[in-house]
Amino acid sequence: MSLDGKDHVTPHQIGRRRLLQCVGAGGLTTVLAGCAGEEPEETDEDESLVYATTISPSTIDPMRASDNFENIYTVNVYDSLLNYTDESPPELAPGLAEDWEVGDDDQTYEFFLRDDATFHNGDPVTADDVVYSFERMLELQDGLSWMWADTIGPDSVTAADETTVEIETERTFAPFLFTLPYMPIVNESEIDANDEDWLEQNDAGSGPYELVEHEREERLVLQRSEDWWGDWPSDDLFDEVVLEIVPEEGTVTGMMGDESADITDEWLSVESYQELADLDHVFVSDEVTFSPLYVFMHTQREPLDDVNVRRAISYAVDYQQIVDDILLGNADQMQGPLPSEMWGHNDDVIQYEQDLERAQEYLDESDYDAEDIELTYTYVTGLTVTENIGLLLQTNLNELGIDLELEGAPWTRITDMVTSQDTTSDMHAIYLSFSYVDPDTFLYPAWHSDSHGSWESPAWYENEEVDQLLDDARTEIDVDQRTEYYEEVQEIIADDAPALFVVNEAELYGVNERVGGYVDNGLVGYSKAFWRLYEDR
Amino acid sequence: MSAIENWYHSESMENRKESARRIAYRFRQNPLSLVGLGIIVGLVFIAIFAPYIARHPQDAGYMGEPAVDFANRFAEPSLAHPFGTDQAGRDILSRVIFGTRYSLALGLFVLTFAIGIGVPVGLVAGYVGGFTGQVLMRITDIFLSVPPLVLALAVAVPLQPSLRNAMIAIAVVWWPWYARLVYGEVISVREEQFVEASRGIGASRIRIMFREILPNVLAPITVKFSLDMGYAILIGASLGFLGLGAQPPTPEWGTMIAEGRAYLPAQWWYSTFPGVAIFIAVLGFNLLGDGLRDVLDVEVD
Repeated sequence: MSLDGKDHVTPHQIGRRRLLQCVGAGGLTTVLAGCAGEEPEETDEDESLVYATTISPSTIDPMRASDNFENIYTVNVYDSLLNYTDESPPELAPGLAEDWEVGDDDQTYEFFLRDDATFHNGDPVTADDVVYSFERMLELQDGLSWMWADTIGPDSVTAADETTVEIETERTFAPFLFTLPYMPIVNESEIDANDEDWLEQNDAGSGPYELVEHEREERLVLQRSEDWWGDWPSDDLFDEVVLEIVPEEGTVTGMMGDESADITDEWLSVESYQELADLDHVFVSDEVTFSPLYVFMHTQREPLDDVNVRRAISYAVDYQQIVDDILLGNADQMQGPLPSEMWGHNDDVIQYEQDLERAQEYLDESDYDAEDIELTYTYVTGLTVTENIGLLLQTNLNELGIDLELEGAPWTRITDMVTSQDTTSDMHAIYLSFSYVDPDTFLYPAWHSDSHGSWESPAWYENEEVDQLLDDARTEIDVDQRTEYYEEVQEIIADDAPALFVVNEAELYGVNERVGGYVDNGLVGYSKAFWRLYEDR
Repeated sequence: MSAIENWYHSESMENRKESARRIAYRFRQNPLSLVGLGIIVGLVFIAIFAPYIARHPQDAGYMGEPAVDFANRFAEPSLAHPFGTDQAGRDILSRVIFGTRYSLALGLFVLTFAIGIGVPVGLVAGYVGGFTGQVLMRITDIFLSVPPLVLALAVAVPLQPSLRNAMIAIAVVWWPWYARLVYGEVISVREEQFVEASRGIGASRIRIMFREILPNVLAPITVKFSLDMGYAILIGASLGFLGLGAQPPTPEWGTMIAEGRAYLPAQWWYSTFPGVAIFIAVLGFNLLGDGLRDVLDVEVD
């Protein structure tokens, strides 16, 4: 303990303060649940950037990365052929590929790799590694592999020479280039030489940061890679980035308060951001980008397989109260399945509002009796917004006589539940993530039947017409024609009500003022591009 | 012989009354146990009359009519809402009052189950002995070797999280303590003369176990029961806190603390008052249990 009156915080003090906070939160049980092993590693504070998040990753294998945290890790540790700029809306920038050419048929692409890129173990990045990365992604059929389903086949990607990659897609896929920032390039020889689990403790990338430590459910420590080919912003760089997993929301705000954390995630309660905004050394980023919240309804199970029941529920919800009182105005109600900020949004589709009479009419039309309907609503434990919406839904549905049970589950369990129809809950409150500037990014993973089994499609929606339209829109290059396809898709889906289209939320993050270069472009992973940040004090 | 055994074995009505009076007198001599008794009587009263005491019973989901009012969220403690309101604008005092029901029900269920299983197991193991006794007690030992909360967690995780399953998980953890306690007592009395005597006149094993031996074990069971009520409530709240017990919006104390901790420290009242309720309940049962232990003069650990 420091007795000399220094005003910096020693590790001991942090420990005690955090412990006291936790004890205050509810006695012994809290200490058990929240504080076990939560002591952050105290490093040279000036050079270490701490990102505090309440969510933990289920894997750090880059080809299995699918959710927010996993993609933050992947984009910072792995390079891809192309990159995204931090503008909003984001644009493509060179990555491992210095330059690229698109053939006249919109199906052949040529990428010219830079010759100064090396993996963290010193191996040069070659065209063969790129070929291998695509193969591994498609072989594992996990993570974001849905992006390239039916577009990239086994022979699509070839190495013309050491530094030239040729890709011939199996069909025209309009947003193809925009998906490439999500194809991490891995070191073939390193992965071949090790077993499956190796990637959970090590990285095989060439990105701006390398993994030095991974303690499950606790933290990931990344170190700046001196040999990275890219440009760093200025001299005051963060040599170390710590992704600290802090399950307690109160602890996150406490860490922001005593500056042992620099950036929060977007999953805290609205009240916590208000508290952070009141701190002198913290600003809250509140960019409205793309963070749409859906309550997916299991369309393959009784009674939600009946469109009338789904419509009745859609008309029972008090959307106004969600926007005004739960989110305190930091959101817009959705109109149909696509956020209205995205191009191609159909302004004519039905926007549900609370209308209990109409809800009752639909319920009367259905084959089910409201008294017999019992549903389960599953949300991510700790995501207070979705929990509160669940409480409101419970009250709203009760007016129709429908029983709703709430169930909180950790994110890792939810990603597990949605892999099969039997274990998927009746209703899942889930935010879709934004990965490329194209309506496809929200529509395909959630509503195409090929995407079933991922956390983005817990509605198990089956509609051949929608499948066809989504496929057509992918293979069409003409933007007007694509817009038409997407408008039709939105109309069918909005009408079918396979989900409650709740709100598009402003994404809130607390950021310490000392962090310079912070821009939220809304992209999953890329909105936390740590290599753009520097110390600004 | 302890007081309660005296009372049970007393032949005449007069003697029984006399012993009961002595127990009551010694109990009164200890003011702390009276406080404990007062707390528990109060809790039981609150649990039974919750719908009449609570000002906003619908906020606790009474009669299956949940009510939320997000416009009135996080009102500070005031006359209208002495414990404040939570994130859904519900009156925390009303919810804490209804929480009494869940906690007492949980404690009662767990201990009824634990006694129902543990006592016969202990009796049989102690009286019959031999191979059967060894097997029963070794199984008991296996359960006892894992800390109760950890074992309850292990049982609760594979089940769907709900209040009922939390009760089952805790009950599964609890019975071995009673088996162990009863076993020890049985061993110490099974060679006594009155047992020998009833064996001599041809009493059945069942009769000997339940009529002759069991009354000697009643005192420690009673004491352990009242002490354990507190612990069972605490473990039930812990499971609720960890998300493995009652689910929101059930106004179970542990669940409420867990919900409120996202809003600490600014909305301190959300987690604090359910925590105080747990504290009072556990304290009440502990004081009563301690008092009973002194009066009945038994050792339960």
